Amino acid sequence: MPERIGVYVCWCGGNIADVVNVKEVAKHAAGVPEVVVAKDIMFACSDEGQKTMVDDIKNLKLDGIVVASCSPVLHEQTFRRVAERAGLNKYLYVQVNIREQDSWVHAHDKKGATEKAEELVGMGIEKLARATPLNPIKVELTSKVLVVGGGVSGLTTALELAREGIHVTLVDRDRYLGGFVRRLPDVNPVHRPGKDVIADLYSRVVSTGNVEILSGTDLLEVSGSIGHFRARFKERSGHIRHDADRELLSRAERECPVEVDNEENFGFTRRKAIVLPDDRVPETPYIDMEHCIKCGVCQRLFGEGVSFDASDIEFEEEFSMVVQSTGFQPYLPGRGEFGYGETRRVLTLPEFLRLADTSGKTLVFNGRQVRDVAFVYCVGSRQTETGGPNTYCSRYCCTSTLNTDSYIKKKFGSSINSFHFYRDIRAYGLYETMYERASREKGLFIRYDPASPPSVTAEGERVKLVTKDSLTAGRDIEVSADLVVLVTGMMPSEDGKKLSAALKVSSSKDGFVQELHPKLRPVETTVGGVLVGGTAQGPKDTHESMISGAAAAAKASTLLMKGYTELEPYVVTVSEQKCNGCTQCVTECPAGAISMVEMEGRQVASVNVAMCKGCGACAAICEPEALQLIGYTYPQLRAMVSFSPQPLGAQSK
Amino acid sequence: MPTENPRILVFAGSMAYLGADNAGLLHKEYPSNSFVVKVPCTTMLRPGLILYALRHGFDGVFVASSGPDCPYLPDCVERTAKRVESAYDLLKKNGIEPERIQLAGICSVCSDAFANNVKQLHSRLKKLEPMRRDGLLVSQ
Amino acid sequence: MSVNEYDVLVIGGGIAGMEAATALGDMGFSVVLVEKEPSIGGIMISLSKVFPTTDCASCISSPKVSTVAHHQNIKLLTYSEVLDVRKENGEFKARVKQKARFVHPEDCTGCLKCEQACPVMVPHEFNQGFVGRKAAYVPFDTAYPRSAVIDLNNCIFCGACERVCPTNAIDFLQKDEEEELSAKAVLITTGGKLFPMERKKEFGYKKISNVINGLQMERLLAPTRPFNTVLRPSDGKVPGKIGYVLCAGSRDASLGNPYCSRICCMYSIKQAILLMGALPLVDVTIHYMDIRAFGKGYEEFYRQAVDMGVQFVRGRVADLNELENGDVLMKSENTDTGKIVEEKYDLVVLAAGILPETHNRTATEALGYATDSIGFIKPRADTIGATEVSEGVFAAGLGTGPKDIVDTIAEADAAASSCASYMKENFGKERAEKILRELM
Repeated sequence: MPERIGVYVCWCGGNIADVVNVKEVAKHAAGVPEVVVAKDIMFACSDEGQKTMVDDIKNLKLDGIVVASCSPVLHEQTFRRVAERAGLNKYLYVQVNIREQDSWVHAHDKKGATEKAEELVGMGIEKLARATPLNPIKVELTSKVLVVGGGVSGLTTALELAREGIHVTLVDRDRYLGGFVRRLPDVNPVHRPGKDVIADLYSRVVSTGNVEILSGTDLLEVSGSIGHFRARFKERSGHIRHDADRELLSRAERECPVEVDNEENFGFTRRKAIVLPDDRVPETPYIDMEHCIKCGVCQRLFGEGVSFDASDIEFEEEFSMVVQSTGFQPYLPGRGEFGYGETRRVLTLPEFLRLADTSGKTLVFNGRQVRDVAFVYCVGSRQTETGGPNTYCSRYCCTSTLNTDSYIKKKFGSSINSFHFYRDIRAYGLYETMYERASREKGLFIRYDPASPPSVTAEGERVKLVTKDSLTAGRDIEVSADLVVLVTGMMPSEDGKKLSAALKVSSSKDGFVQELHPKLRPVETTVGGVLVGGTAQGPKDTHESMISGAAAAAKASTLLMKGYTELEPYVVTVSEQKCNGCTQCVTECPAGAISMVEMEGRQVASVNVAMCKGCGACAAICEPEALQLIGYTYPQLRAMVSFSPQPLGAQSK
Repeated sequence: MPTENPRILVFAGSMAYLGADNAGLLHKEYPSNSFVVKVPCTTMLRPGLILYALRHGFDGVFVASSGPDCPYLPDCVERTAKRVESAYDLLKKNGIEPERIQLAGICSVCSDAFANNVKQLHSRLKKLEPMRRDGLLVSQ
Repeated sequence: MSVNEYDVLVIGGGIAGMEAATALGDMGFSVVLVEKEPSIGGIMISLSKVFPTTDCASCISSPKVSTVAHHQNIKLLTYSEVLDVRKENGEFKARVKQKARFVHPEDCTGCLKCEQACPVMVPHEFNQGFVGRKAAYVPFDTAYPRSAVIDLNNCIFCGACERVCPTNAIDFLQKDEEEELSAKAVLITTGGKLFPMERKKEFGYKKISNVINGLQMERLLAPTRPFNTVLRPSDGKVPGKIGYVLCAGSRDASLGNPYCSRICCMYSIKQAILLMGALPLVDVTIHYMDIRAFGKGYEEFYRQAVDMGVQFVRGRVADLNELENGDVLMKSENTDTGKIVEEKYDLVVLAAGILPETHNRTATEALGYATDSIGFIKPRADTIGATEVSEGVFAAGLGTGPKDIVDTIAEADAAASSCASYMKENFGKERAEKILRELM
């Protein structure tokens, strides 16, 4: 246990030192008998600061260090590495938080803040003086990753990992891959159909030979921790051979008597009960048993190749890491929101895109040619003023709409008039040129105030929009259109929320997956071994989702190429001498990590460290204090809370 | 005799600790005579430890549980509440006011909740007698 | 393997280069990181705080610096420039110049004695010229390497530094040195720079003392700031009324930059929030065209600024003129009222846009990547979501287009991933496996 302690009090520029008298704090710490050296440092985290500590540890033969600086969340790893570089066990280091929990919250109480820092440092010294050298728990990582979600992001993650020689299982509930992008008729900024972008990615993924693709497969359950995630899948039967002959399939499709709305196109087209891939990947057909009437037409063509009662297959696999790329779901306007659901001539952007894609040379809706299209932006986003739940901006919608405008004019001719009811056009970065082009192509931009959003009412075969245009100094402006397109934002997907809950991944306030650091660690989650890519983390466009997916791959490979990871050794230990064999801890443990074993003729508790999560629930109820949580032992905690800022006598009044 | 500036010990679970950090990021001020001790999860708190703190230098203890976001236990709140209930009993047995303990769930972004809980406990403790340690007043 | 052979050559040691180099190093690849400045960290390390978390930028970037500095797989060459790089037989050969520091960094302890002794005072780049530095100087407090450098252009050769140096680290005879190295892939993270605002004559930048750019305001707000408060340059007065001009040098085809710079809305909002905290009585007005708060948590951050009382006025700023007392008269339109308004400010901040850093571009021209009209590196034709800009050449960060820190980090990691894939496929055992699979 450390007896030669070094204490370092950080100025953090002025962040700490403007409020806390760091020199006083260091001087105060120097008075503690175990403290050999106590210094104040301008930036403890800087290289210079680190060098000071390394030199002191070596030269003064320190056996433990206390750093009083920012929150350990930021720099714990930094200072542990300092200890390590100086040849000190990295757990013989304690960080004391005198910034977030002191100088920043007591700016108007400098004296109090300084005294608080002195005491916090004192508590840190007490904790360190009762610490023992520890070693991290090593977890082997097999080269096997589960990617959940087969949109652009998941496919990109899978592709990158597979190219690096890592084995990937890619699961998607959908029978066809590509998520939202698959249904985009024109992907910005490459201007190719989404299904082509997906098909390209898919063929590259397949050619690596390292990816097992489970499309049309439900992820029933997932549990475990880094190195040992267990997932249970249900592969839904397609009821028809994957490699069924193409010609016969087309015939079967023609002859199938069942016709239903094609959900792929929001019902703008119809489909049969036997479904062909139709340029989608993987190129496997299926029979939609929900609508199939088992008439036997296809069965006559394929014989045993069709099986109406083929059952789904359930199986389990183990993975060392999981990438959550569960995407988003488009905001669905409520009935009456900008006329949605009240007049058929109000569509959402995803719906409109399918209408445009499935239309021939002219854009026709409900039997009438469409000439005037009005886009209403920020539907389901930036709802602070309207009291809706989504306060965030959905990022992709402005540029996606500008791209749609350009796409329909390219496809249906420039005779189409477009009206843009917007709040701010967020055509960020290089996308600005799209905004400029849309204005040039005679798009009319009308800026509305969120406090008085455009009213949308049916008017015969047309729709009327009225708003106050801020650019014309608040006069009422009225537009009559054939179609109104509500530019709907992104919402976290329900599937994604379920997966996060199962993996215990935290969500941000907006419901998307919370990244480990909003600035520096965008693809890591709060759970070790679980990464996040694409729009599951927050709104993004196609390109950004792919970048995010590739970044997630990078973070996975940094661990997988090493083949192991190290976990904190903060687990529970048992003193067999003290254990009275009561077994209460066995029932208290939420992880099932404790069992009773025989030792010297009696039953004592034993902890499986690989399973122990380090919550300490067992230790709290152990009567004889036989269980101790390493790093937070009760002797340590008692020493900390009874640390006396001054000699006892000085306290009396 | 009321306590002029009560000393508060905060046991913060890992998420609650981030909540306290968040209060710092947003510069939400609260009484400086409060000291956070980080624990992974507040279910590890022995009732005896709370009593120990009150006898060794603190006028009140704020148990800041990570709430439903606790990365360790989904039922962290219930389990922590059980610990705190036992602590109430233990305090009563020892003639100490149970209102010296404050329990709240603090999420990783609950900066206001954190600061307000400390303030609340601080003003409540002011109305009580200072705790004594070995015959000496704890707070000055 | 000789010492000069590496897996990856990373050009540029800003946040993108540091992130990518670390990722590649962690994967086990050997990386050489070349940085032209005397220390690494790029623009980010000089910033005040970051949006929307208001974390201190230097606090969160210095651990990255430290990781790169001590990484066993990363060779760091600071104050060095790639003179040329070309592809030969599937690998890249580069010539790198190590500029003479006139100080031996391995001997320098960063004690600052030379800096104190040096009699020459010139504007300090790191502090945007608000204060001076010496000709012998350590670039900034958290610089890595923390070694002095002697700026020979301004040195008067008095020898004062040499006399006081306790470790005899100063060496005026030091010469630039050239080194040949080879790498299997190249990653370009050469970053960006602020739009030179003097090109917009109407704003009077560098003519009107109290018109500064966004990066200068960053320094006035940084924890390591020069004056420990926010002062305006002309007379050192604490400004009571501050105006922001957004889209300064962005979205302006007449200045040759048609693009939006992505970060200016947010950094202005952040500065406004920080100013309200630092100067409780200050009025901040932001003149904008569209508020582009599109990132995660950004819209909420914008709302926070509105709630704190930051004024937002929509409309272009026409011109700025200096008044006798140093105040700045701003003429602008307000599109919400349709009026042209004149307003006096104590200090005006130009939220200057981002251009690519094209310093010494010719050195990498032979790599065969394409650039757009203002020099941003373009993706390969018809590719989306890719960071490979030419075979074996990858790019990330401000060099490929304006973007904020988190998008830069994601792009840098993505580039590291694609770079790793490229190397595994072309040089690793995966190559053999792939060929085998294709044969079967």
